[in-house]
Amino acid sequence: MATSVADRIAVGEGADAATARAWLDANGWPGRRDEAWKYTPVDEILASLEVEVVAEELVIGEVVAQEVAVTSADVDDLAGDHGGPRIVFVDGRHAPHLSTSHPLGDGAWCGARGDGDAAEPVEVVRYDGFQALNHLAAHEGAVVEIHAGIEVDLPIHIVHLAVPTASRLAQPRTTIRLGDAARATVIETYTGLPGATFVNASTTIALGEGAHLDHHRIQTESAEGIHVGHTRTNSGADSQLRSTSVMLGAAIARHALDLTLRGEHAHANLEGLYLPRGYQRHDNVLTVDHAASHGTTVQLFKGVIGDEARGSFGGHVIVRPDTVGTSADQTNRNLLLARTAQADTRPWLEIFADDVRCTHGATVGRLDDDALFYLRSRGIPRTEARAMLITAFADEIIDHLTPASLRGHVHDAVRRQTEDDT
Amino acid sequence: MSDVVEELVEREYAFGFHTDLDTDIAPKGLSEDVVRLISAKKDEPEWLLEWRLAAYRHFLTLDEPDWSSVQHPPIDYQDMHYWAAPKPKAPGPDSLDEVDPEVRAMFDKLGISIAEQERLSGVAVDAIIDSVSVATTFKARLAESGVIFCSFSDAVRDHPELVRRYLGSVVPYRDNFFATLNSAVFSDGSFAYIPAGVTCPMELSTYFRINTAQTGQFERTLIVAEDGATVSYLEGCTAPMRDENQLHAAVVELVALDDASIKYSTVQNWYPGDADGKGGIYNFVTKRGRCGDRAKISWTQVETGSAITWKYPSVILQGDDSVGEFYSVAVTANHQQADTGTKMIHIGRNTSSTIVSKGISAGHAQNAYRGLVKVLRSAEGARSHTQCDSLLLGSTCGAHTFPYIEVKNDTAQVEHEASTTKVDEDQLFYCRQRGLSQEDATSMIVNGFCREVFDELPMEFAVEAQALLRVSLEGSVG
Amino acid sequence: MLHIQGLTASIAGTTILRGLDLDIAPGEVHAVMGPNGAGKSTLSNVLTGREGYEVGGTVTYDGNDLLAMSPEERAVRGIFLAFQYPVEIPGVGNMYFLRTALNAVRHERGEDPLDAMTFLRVAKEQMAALDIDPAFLSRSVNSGFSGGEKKRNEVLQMTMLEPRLAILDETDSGLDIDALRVVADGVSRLRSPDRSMLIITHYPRLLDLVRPDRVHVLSAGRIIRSGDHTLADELEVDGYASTVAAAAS
Repeated sequence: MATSVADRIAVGEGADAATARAWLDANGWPGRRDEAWKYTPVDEILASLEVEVVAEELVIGEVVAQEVAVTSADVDDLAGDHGGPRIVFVDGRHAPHLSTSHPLGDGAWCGARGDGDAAEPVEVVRYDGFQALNHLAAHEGAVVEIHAGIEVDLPIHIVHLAVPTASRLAQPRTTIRLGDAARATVIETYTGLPGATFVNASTTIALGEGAHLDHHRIQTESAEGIHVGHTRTNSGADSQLRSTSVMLGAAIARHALDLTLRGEHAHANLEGLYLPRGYQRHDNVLTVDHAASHGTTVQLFKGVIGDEARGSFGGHVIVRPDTVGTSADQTNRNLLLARTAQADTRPWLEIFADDVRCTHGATVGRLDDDALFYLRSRGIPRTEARAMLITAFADEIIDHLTPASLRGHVHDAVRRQTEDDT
Repeated sequence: MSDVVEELVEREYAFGFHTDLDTDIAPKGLSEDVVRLISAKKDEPEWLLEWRLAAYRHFLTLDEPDWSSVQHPPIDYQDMHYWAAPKPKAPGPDSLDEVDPEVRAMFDKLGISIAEQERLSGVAVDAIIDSVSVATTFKARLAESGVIFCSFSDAVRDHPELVRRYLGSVVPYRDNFFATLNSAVFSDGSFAYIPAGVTCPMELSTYFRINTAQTGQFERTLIVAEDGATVSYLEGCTAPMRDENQLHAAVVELVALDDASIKYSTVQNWYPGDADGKGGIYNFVTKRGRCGDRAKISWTQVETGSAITWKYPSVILQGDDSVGEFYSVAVTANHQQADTGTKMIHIGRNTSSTIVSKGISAGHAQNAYRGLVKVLRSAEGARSHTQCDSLLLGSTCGAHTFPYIEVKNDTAQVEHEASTTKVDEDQLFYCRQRGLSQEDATSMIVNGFCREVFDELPMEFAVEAQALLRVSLEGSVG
Repeated sequence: MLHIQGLTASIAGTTILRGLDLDIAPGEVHAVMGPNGAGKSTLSNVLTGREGYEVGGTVTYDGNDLLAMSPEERAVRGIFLAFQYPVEIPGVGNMYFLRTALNAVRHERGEDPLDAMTFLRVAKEQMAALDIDPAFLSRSVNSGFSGGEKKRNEVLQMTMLEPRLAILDETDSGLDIDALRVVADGVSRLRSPDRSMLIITHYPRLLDLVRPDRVHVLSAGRIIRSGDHTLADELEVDGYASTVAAAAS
């Protein structure tokens, strides 16, 4: 099992692929007993991976076949146009005809690169079979490279589009690298056409000293699809990361966000919103590793869970020995909108140093009856009142998205997702 | 604080003496024969032997769990005694006068003068040494209200129908590795039964003492409160200082029928090992209660002892409107490890649970809260609130919080709050500016941190708990 | 009683006090005024032994080297700081805290500890005088107290501990006029020939109610002007800017 899928995919040539292969052979796939996968229906994912997904050869540089009838207008619809360069990948392959480029100036570059060209070396810390599967594959990866001291104002938009027709395993790989004191906004949109897609994504972010990154990850794939995503970030000293993760799509979606503060005085603000409906399963797994002193991290993840859906949050803050001055806050709030909806939350703190101030809070509940009554007493119909309260709950996260066009795009997507709730 | 931490001195364990008692001891090792021997020693009925054997056979299929954060060298389950009992001078002490004077002297030394307690404090005490009950006080007075409070062995002999009905009804013998082991080899423990409508006229209390070397202690407590009954129960535990690690794997089952209320308090002060982490008790305990309609179970624990503490006193909130509470102070110093917390399983409608956990970690200790709040689909209107705070004294210890919250009903309201900090420098300075020494100031602040939990203890034990807290942290704080 | 000479203090590389001189004789009430950032709070922190400062110069208290003493040593020898922001200590009863502090001070003076009953009687008298609700004693130290309640609690502690040198750090800030009067009355009652006071404040209004013997203006870590209480009135009219400018010219 561990290797049969791995045997069917085109394997990369770099050292990464070898490392990943060795790791996968030795450790295999995650299971329900693995703490980080406790609330991910991993058995279903693996069954689907084995049975339904036909991995195909991936030929670097091959133009995505026109048989995949996707137009720029479709991409506009699915991912939005946010005024900067938009690099589009279809099932992990670069689609230049759907991409638009904008000059970013000297010292800044974004685009597609082949295997091993630009990726950060694989780290097998808190590693798992899905990361390994991604890393051992041949890639056309998305790369954002901002050199030291360069500030890019235009938002860089990477769109990973999954299409069901080929029934293939899409393994997008994204690398974002900011040099010292560089600054950028990067949007990753994971979206797709309706149907059974399978996406196994890996993103690696490296922030130099004093770098400043706004990173937004929007996932609106097909409600029949499976999405397994992993974002690994290494933060340098004095760097600032503002990260927002919005999860709307896929029948089963998992996003693991793994942040290590490597340099002192690094700051990160991690926010997320997940809105599973129908029978969707949404799982967010966060690891925040305070490996250097004076780091500050703030996590705020919110779930709005309806129908028969299940939304999960697993947060894990680690404060390493011999660090000082850590501040870490972790908050997870969940709204249950239906009798049959389910929320799981697991906010963990693991602390090996005493000069810390860490808090976490988690709540699960439904819409505030008093607030609902108040609105209705002012003449607002029940349905509308509920929608207003749900929007207000979600807006706390959405409002932090930049630029405004992204905010609007996500707003609309959230509204579509929640309009049947009432 | 840092210079304070460097002053870490060995903590003196006040209860580390060993009493030379003439002891009846089984050969080392675990086997079906040993299980039969224990049962035979206790003249048990056939059904109980069968239950033990079923547990033993199931135990053979299990592996020691590895999911908790505690670490220890492998336990050799064949290298310990499963039965040790102080040999009675006369067969079966019927009154205190017949209790071995050395046993009584030992309890005097522990500050639990059985006779004194009987006269003065109005607390009924069951004293258990090396798994065997040696004295139960106040039996007669309790009997007047229909309350049964006796050793587990006596209960098997005198009230077999009650024991048979409730034994394993909350913690079945297949429950978990340590509970299964206990089910096979448990030697004695306490039994309390409060009939319908009765409020137990006094506190019930059991003192546990491990005395013999290389002996596991496996006692079993069963408390049954019938409809509308109320009882408050307290257990205390001590053990001699030894270089080896001793295993303590107890099971406590609480049955609170409709409208009943059980308050269960623990002051756990097993030997924690020395300053280098040598010796100490491995405390792997399964505690669980089940609530009927409108029933209430409240666990309060002050855990300062043991090299390893692994326990999760839990409540199954089966009845509608039932209430579960867990108040915990866990103190770890030197090389102690604690992985403790609770499970609140909401099944009935309008059930509510409250969790207040205060963890204090000093020296090289690791202190983890692990808890589960689970709201099932049936638990309409469930409420749960968790407050879970950790305090760190020194830079070489760890404090961890591992909560799990699973909610399947949208009318439920579940909240969890937690914090981890070191002792606040501003508070320390404020106290010192008023003339308090650093040690007194720290002790005062730590006690204040635990106040909410101490307030839940019966008065006389709250004082004991505060003193214990101070002793436990001596040298770590100033 | 208190003799400060060339006091310097810096924290995390930033110098705040730059050679401050001040003498306070027994029974004298001194006020140190100054704009924000002048170093007023640093002065009270350094005098009471707050850690984290690099301190230079000399401070003698009753002929002893004050800077060599721990905070609690200074406290039991009679130095009391009324905090600008009294600290909340959840779970620790106000009464228990105050009695423990009082008995620490009494122990230093060679007096017997007060038993709970006597303590309670004395405390209640003082609380009545300060218009403090008796329920105060059973609450946790400053926990959930309003700003005014906290300041009154400081004055209550000061009254009970009978310090020889009381330092009031912005005790008047955040008080309405009634609370200010209660605090000022409490301070005035404590004036005695063998008790000195150092009132640190930004606003002169407390000084209208408690007439100090000497007023000093602290600016940029030094005392730039001293005078009698009329200096406070002058500052009220002209503000700090002109005084600071005049000192600089």
